Amino acid sequence: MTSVVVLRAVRGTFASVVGALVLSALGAAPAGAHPLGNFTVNFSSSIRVEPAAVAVSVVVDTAEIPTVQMFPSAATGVDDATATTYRAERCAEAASAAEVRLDGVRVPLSVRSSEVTFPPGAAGLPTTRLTCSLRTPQGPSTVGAVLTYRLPLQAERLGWREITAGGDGVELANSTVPASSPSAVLTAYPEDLLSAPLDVRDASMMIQSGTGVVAGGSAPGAPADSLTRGVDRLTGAYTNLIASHKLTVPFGLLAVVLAIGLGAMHAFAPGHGKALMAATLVGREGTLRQAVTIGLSVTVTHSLGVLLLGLALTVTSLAAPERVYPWLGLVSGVLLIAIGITLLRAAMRRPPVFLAAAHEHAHHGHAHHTSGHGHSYDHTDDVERAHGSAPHSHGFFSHTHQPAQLGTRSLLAVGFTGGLVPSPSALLVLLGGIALGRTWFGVVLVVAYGVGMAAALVAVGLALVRGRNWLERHADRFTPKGRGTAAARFARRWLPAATSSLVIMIGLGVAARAASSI
Amino acid sequence: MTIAVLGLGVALFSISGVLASPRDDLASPPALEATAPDNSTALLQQRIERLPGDYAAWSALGTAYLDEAAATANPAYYSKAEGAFERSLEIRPAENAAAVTGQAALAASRHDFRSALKLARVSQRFNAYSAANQAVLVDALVELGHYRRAEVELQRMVDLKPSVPASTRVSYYRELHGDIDGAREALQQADAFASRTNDKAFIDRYLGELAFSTGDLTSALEHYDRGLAAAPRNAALLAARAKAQMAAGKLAEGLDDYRTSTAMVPEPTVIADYAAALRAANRTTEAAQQDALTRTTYTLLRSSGSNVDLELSSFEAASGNGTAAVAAARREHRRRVSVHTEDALGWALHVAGEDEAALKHARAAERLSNTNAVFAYHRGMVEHSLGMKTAARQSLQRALRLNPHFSLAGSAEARRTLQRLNR
Repeated sequence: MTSVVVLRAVRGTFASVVGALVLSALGAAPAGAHPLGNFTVNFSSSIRVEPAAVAVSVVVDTAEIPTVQMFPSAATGVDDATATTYRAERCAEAASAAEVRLDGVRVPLSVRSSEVTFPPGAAGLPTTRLTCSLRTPQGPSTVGAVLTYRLPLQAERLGWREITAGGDGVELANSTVPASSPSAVLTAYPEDLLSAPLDVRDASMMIQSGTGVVAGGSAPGAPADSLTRGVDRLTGAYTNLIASHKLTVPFGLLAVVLAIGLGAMHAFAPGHGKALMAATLVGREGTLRQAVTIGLSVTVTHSLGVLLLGLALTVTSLAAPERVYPWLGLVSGVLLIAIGITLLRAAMRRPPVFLAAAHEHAHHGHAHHTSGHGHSYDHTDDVERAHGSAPHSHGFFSHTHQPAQLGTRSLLAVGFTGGLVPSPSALLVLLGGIALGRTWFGVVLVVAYGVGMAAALVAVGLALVRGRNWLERHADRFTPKGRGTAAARFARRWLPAATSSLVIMIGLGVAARAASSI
Repeated sequence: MTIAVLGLGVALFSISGVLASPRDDLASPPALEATAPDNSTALLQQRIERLPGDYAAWSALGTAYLDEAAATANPAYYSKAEGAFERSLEIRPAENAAAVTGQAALAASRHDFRSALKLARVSQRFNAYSAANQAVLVDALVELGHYRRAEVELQRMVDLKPSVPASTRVSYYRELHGDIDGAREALQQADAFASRTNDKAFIDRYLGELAFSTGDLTSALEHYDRGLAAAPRNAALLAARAKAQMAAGKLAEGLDDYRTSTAMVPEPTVIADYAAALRAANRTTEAAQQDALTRTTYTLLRSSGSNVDLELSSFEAASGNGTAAVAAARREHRRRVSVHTEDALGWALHVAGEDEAALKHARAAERLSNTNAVFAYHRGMVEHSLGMKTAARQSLQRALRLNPHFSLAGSAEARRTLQRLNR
């Protein structure tokens, strides 16, 4: 429940109106006012551990109103007699209230010296600064003991409470308090907007032998990473970078370049149809053009998917990623299965041999033999069929104008399924951009991300195609004569079917995994 | 046969490969940690450390600091809240509704209600659906005396988000208009909403004060005790209980509660009540000290730029300084005309001896309702000074009927005056 300060006059009186007034006005810290508020009493305890004793310096900084409460005539000044009585009494009180325990055993403190000053505050009123030097008697060695400290003085009073600890002739380990005062012993209160006013009421530390360099230090826990779950550190670092800079042109260009890099890196993460692409390109007469087609298809689908999902997320909270992603995965899996089945049926239907008669290209009048020709065809009207213009080679993987060629539509479909599940990091880049009020920039970055992805995928596809071609060219070197042909025939016969089955299996796996998390 | 084997192998390979891969975190959200409401400030601070440009988080942090200030009465949180809202506006100066609402709330707490209204309206233009902004808007309108407009905005607030702050404001609005039963009902509804300890303590205080204002001391003390059981360090509850205890004749307990409350939070009206209580217990030196402290506190508040004229006029009137009281009351009356400023000006004029001028204002104070015992008492005393015996008798009787304990000094004075009138 967001309750803005409930400012209201109470029945017939205006007590709580003024209540809010007192707090805010006295806390607003205009020039001259006590920075923490005119009615606070602030405590600082500086512990110095020596080899055989413990010294504590307690400083109490009292703001204007409590000063007047203690010294009703404070506005005109506090006379020496009153001040002396005050410091003697208050330091004696501090000495009896402060609890110094070594291994649980309380050690008494006595007052070594006391001092009080009245620094001026707001509206001509003084504040009070009391310093009490307390000390334990010389005793057995403190080394090896656990020291605990607390000062339960005026617990109801509001104010800054700090404790510091250092060793003088000993070392401190596992100290829950720092060695140096964050407020320069109540003279300069930090104006950190990102931390609560200090309210440390107790301290503990281990005393070890050493030269007196304070080794202790508090170990605050790592900040909760609740908001970056599911996203890798790279993307987290990237979005931090985007958020914390002003959007200048050079920085914008840098961000675009980094987005391309991020996209390329994520292209190598699991998903995005690389296995499918491999299966397709290796199992078929995959060409560079096919690789490019698949890569571009993945990227366009992916970018559109990210933009649509981003739009849906900002418009409605119903489209939470946890709910959308499994469905996308399921659809993707089902599409894969469908594509795989189509390919398999096509592969099983046609005779898996290089018979020209079964060739589908009506306008190709040639007959294809396995005996050497290296010409390329005129594919001008036939680019849709996308045999590509891969060099025909012979041998282990002969060129086949097998009818089970992939049309561009199939390639696009393959790419589509690969890009169907938007990468979380791209989504985060877009949503981060929208949340920071830079929607258009977020879109630009997503497109750049997609370009990076395309480049990487095309590179992968290219590598696959080249690799396959290299294998084709040199494979016969590795196979013994006789068996080579049989093996080659076997492979030619069954490889398309096998890769289609692989596609189906991948589709089943993706769908099953997605379905399990719906 | 070979096909089957090959197919099976491929199937096993791909399925295991797919299923054994690490799960995508976004597809399986991790278990939500149970975060206590207190963690929200810490979480926001951490978020801003990671994303310093997140202006919405800065505004939310400012609001969280205001909540902390209301809960802990620690004034340092007010300056932190102010800093957080300024930072948010630095990052995004245009259409930053939440930050503007925060600034409006801070202006209201400094009693600069005109600025609070202006800022709240600006924020309303950017975002008409913010219950938090409606809260500030309603407060500003009520304090400025625009009661009809306040009702419209209050209805809108309730429609947007029924909640504890909405219900407490409904209760106050009804009480201002004389519907005491409706006010009580609204608070009881709020009690049903309230889940946090601070909210329940809040509501207990208001229920107790409502009971007190109708003279029911027993229920009032019950509510205060219940509230303090849940929130023992609540200075406002202690002050309210002190008042009820003094009225019930428990002087020692009352003075003790006043002492604790003013030690925690030296609110000037409470200190003034403490002074009155000390006077009633015949501890006059201490009473004088507390009066001096009250004056010091008002001086500090004014020097820090806050508007304390309404409260100051009441204090000066109680101390018998008519001229100073009238000056302060006129200043405030020029700024805003609400039933409270009318009552303050009327009473100040009466203390200064200008009863003809006072009567108009004393009557105007009762234009919304005639169920406020203090207003009735003030009017009765003015009428008595003007020799309007019947009217005075009616007003004073009404005051004592509504709440026989409305003020330590005032109740006694009302009874004495009635006796004189009846002679």
